[in-house]
Amino acid sequence: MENIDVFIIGGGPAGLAAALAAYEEGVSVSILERDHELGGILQQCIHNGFGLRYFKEELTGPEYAQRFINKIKESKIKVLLNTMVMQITSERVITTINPNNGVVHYKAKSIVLGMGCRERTRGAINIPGTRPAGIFPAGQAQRFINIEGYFPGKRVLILGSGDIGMIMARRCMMEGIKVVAVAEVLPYPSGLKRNQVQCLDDYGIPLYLRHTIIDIRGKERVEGVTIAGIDEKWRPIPGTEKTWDVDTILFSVGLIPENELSSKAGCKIANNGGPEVDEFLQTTVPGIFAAGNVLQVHDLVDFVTFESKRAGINAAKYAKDELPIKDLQKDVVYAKPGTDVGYVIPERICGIKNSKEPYEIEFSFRVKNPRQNIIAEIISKGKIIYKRKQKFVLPSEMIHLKVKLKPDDVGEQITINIIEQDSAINVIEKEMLEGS
Amino acid sequence: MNEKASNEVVEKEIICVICPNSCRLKVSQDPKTKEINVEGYLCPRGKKYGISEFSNPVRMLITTMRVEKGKLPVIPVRSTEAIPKSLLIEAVKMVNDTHCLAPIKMGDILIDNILNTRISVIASRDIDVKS
Repeated sequence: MENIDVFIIGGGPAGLAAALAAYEEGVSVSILERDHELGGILQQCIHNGFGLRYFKEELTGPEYAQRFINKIKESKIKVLLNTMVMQITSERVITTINPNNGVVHYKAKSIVLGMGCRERTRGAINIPGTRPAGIFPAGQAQRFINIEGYFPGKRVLILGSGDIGMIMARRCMMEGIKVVAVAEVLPYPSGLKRNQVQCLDDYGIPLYLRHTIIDIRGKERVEGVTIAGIDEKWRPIPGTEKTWDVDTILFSVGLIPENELSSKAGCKIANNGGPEVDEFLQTTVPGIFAAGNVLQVHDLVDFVTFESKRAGINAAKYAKDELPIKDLQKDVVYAKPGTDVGYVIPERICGIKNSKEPYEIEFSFRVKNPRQNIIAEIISKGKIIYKRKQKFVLPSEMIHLKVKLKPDDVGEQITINIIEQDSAINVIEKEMLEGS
Repeated sequence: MNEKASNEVVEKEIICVICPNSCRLKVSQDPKTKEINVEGYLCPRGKKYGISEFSNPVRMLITTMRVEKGKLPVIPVRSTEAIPKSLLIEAVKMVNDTHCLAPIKMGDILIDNILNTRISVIASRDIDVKS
């Protein structure tokens, strides 16, 4: 293992795609995976709907993973399973531990972080009540049922209408586990409409919007749950309580990028919880790249694959000393979220100022609110340098913008805004009038 | 005009899931001509979805099956095509009552022609033998 160029941290969808892409660049690659097999979260996402963008066909999660795993098996990529990465230093020394070899250190020429994300738990959202057994994050219950083959309970309430929560509602009903209700604090379901129709409506599971849990009963095991409607300030409204006897409560209340290793390595962590990256998906530590859910929580695995391939290629180029920009601190342009935009990736653009031609950048970002008939615009030096119309935007659907910007149009900062089309047109017309 | 017929019209409200428009479709069938009428769609895909969802709603069968001698106790499976929605629960039951034997490769047929639908249930992944 002494002569490995690129190390990939994590063997989920991000790690698999990054490893193969780096390998195809002609460098030696190793994947470090803490589980007993590759595939990551895809192995428990047994439903279909994966791969429409990347493979142009509809696959289940395990099928999507298996296609990559088969390619890895055909390659000379070294896979270390049951191997936990304890630490990464800014000099790219990786400390691992596994049951066969104990503690082992590796020195990497470059690294791709692909640790993914983890679920937000009950403790993170301040839910009152007792603390008995029978309270699980939805994804953990999904692993119990779909991989380990046993059921977490018999009667379930689900808090949170994200896609995992709704898909778990259907999965429970199919296995004879009664789902009494799904409660959601937001005034709209936070997952896809398709999942609301096919996972809740199909099985007659009621969805309570603007509701949250106000009490959990039970000493050893969950015995019951009470939800209530909430007002604008998220306070429970007296008289709206509903109570069920249940033995299990699932929380589907969001995902958090898993970045303990990244921050310990010295990577600057951005406001969205992922490492700050440049247009090569390189973090603030030279030679350490990031992709997939560790960088930003995606809604489609296909986009994790696209993003991770880029990170893998760039990590291989870095290892070969071929990455066009190694000195990152010169002429950096910062990309900022503007009106109604939650975050923007990449946060830094290093190559544009020294480019002689229009410079291609792939942005991804999320809106803060659902909107219709909008314009996504990029502003720099007080001018609109790019704009695109879009009929619908939803916080649950990531927006991708692949743009070519002229170096002369760009100042020290660019801002991405989402604005309603009428006001956008007014601004453009006004500028045209002023110009004429 | 045709009072008797209009009394017997079956009408269903269906939300189209093809795109984020989420059109609320009103789908009805003329009891005499059997013609299906869709209202409320914004594009032809919505009309097509309304007709198929009204006349023969189908869903993919997605569940797990017990594995004997496998590295894992269950294997994720799916139907090769969507099956009629009305058969879904019965089909899941049948999968639950079936066991398969490791090793298994992705795509292996685990139940052929489930419930006489001419649709098979196949493995979603490889599962090796327990060592």
